[in-house]
Amino acid sequence: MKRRARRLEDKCRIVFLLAFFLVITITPIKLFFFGPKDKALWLEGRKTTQPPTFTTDSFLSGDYQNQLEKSLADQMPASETLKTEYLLAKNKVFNLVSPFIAPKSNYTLVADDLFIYADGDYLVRKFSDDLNEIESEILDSNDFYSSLPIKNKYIYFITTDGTVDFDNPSKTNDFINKYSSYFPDFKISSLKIDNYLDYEKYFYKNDHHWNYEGSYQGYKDIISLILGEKEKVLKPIEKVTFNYDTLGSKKRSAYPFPSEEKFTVYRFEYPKHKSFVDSYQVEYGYQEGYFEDPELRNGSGDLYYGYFYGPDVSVVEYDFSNKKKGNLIMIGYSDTNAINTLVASHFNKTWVIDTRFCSLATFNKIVSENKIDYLLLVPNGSGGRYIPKPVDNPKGYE
Amino acid sequence: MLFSSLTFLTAFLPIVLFLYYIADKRFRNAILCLASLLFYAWGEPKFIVLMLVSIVANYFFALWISKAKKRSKKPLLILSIFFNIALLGFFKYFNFGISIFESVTGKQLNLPLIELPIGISFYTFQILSYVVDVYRGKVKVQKNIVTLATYIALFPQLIAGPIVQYSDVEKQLKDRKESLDLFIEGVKRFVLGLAKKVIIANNVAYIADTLYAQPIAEVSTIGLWLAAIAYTLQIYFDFSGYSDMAIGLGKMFGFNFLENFNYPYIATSIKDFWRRWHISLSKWFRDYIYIPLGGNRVSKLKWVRNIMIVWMLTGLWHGANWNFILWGLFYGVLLLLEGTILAKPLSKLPTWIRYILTMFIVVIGWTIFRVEHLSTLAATLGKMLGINASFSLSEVFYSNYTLITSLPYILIGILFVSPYLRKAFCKLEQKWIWLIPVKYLIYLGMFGLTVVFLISSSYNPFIYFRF
Repeated sequence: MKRRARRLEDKCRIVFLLAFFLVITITPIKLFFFGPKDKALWLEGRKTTQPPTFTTDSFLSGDYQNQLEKSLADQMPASETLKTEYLLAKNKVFNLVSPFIAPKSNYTLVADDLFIYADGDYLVRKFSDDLNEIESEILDSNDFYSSLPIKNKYIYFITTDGTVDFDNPSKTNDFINKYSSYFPDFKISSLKIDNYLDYEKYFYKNDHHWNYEGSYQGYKDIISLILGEKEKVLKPIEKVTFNYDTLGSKKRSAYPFPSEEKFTVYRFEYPKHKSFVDSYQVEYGYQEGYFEDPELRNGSGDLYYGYFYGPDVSVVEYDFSNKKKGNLIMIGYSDTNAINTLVASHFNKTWVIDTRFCSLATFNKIVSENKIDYLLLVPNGSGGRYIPKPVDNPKGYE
Repeated sequence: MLFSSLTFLTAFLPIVLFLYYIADKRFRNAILCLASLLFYAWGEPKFIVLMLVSIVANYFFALWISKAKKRSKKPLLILSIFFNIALLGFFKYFNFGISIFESVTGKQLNLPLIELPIGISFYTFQILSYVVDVYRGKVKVQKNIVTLATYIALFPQLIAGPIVQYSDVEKQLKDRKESLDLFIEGVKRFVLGLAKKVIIANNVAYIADTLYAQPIAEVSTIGLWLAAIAYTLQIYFDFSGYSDMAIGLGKMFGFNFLENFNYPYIATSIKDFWRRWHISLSKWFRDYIYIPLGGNRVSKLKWVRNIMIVWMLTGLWHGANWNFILWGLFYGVLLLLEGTILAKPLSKLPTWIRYILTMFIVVIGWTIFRVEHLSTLAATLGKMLGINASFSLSEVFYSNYTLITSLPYILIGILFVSPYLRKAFCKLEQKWIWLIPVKYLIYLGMFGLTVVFLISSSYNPFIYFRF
């Protein structure tokens, strides 16, 4: 018996050792013989990290080490499948434990800080009325823009799930009133969301951006706020529902929660214009490509907000050569990507600035070299700092 | 570099193992030494110079001490100790000293913060053990600087211990026998440690970190106890997991390091706990501080002094902050009480009550250790013990998905803090030999799971790196 056990143990030990070596050597062997894979990771909405090139500077700063670690995680065979399985298992654990923890509420937790409301399948964040955390950032923004020599200043506040308590929507007015009180020199308007149904109408199921209806409403509100109700707005020439599934940021966070919808947009006929991205003359966004190219129009799979409307860049400049109209600077994050051209069509020149990527020097140059008639901030309540960065860090046109 | 990183697992380890085993025996220390320096430089490129200076300086200190006449040995030893403590003191305690100076004088010096080199507390203590033992004539001076550097910088135990005394590995550094049996034992031990760290410690760490990050008013009594228990498990599985990995890696390269943990959470007294927790540190303090001070073979008053000095230093070794000093003194006082006036009444209590009392103290101890701000610590302990108590779950439980999915790891952790499951399995394994492949499947399963966790999660810091 003992000898048999010993023999079995020896066999098991060798198999164990071989398996251990297989796991620790498979990635370097695969990289050596087949090279690194370079593909889009659906789950994370990014491309695989490539093995870094060694330089002394990158090693001393730790960048080399960090990128190597990330690339090994991405380059390991079946890494995406393993991650997916991990998330599925995590979800099973959650479903097992949460009944003992979760209170009875209209908000049901389905991922970190993501809920579904009542019987809906929209992934929503919970209302937070705590402006104290971002108060200093908001005050900085007000100080910065108030000191500029621009007469007409506006704020269009995008009311989102984080700023609406669906159980008590009146709280939103208090929130916006408090937010407005930080900007005494600005005229303020906001996207009106009175209840959960309004939210469903204006936002994607699984993305944090506003959808075609929300952004169109936002555009109309902005034009009314700045130029008055008599100003004629552009009307959509068609509504297109693609065969693509919307792949939003919340869907990735809440995987495997099912929250599907087809990507739907309005199509507009814009007046003739020129547009520049980081000083290069290009058409911002890919909208016309998706409408005109039959392969793209009839394609299927996933579609991101940014793939259709355009990526986040530091500055998009529009020239509609309409000298009778004034010039506008519009400040916002990715929400404005969907309405850049629409809003700009009502002005002579428009600069759309994403302060996450625009340097202070670039911003100051625009203000000093042009006569700016209108300034518009388009915050969404997720942060308070809408000031250009003192360091140049523009993200290029992708 | 972390053991629980893919860089270590899938690049560094296979390459070093390959080079080590194809090399002639004469060059194996040199390979380990170079690999260890690269391992350290990977995470701390700047501080590799500090370590090299320390190695070279102590190489010469030990040589001089061994060659010096009897009268000059002691001054040289004092000089060497001063050099090592000054380095440790500057990098570890300078910021703390300045903050004390500023709070006492009310002046703001606005000095730049000194960064703490990883593992400095561990390798300084190893160096000190070597130099002191050379002075005492307990070990021979190491004339080969590569061998000495291998001892000081040996990557398995470089940054989080165990604190290997030179006398314990003197022979192994010169002549060790690698074998397949030892290697496989090493791999098993490494996998066990990796699983402890990645599967249990990292997950319970999420609970502790999330709850301690909330304002104290927003965490209920239940939440604070849960955080304290999670942290108690985290620090054990993190640190003992690291020690397991170090011991396992040592075996892969033919070393046998002493055990650093012996199921401390089954202790039935504080003394018992400290015999089982971070054994190499307790042994170091005993050999190089407590016994030189006279140990317990002195008057009662001096014994009390010795205990309090050792425990204050133990606290300070763990971190430059008041809470660490408080934590050390807390254990010093408890050990004094346990060894004197409480000895008799405690011995009359049933074992299970002594166990509960010990664990209660250990959890409170780790709370002192974890909560660095004294005012927050007072509020935390107060709330845990019933002052301003509230018993609902905190709001964070209702919005944090990962927190909820981490909760089962507390149960898994509790299940594995004792040796009973393992012992039961070993007994059954002797009866039913089909459990042998099951055992290896469990090891492989644990390893596979850690790789999945490593790929899927970027949350991977080791607690003990700051000491």
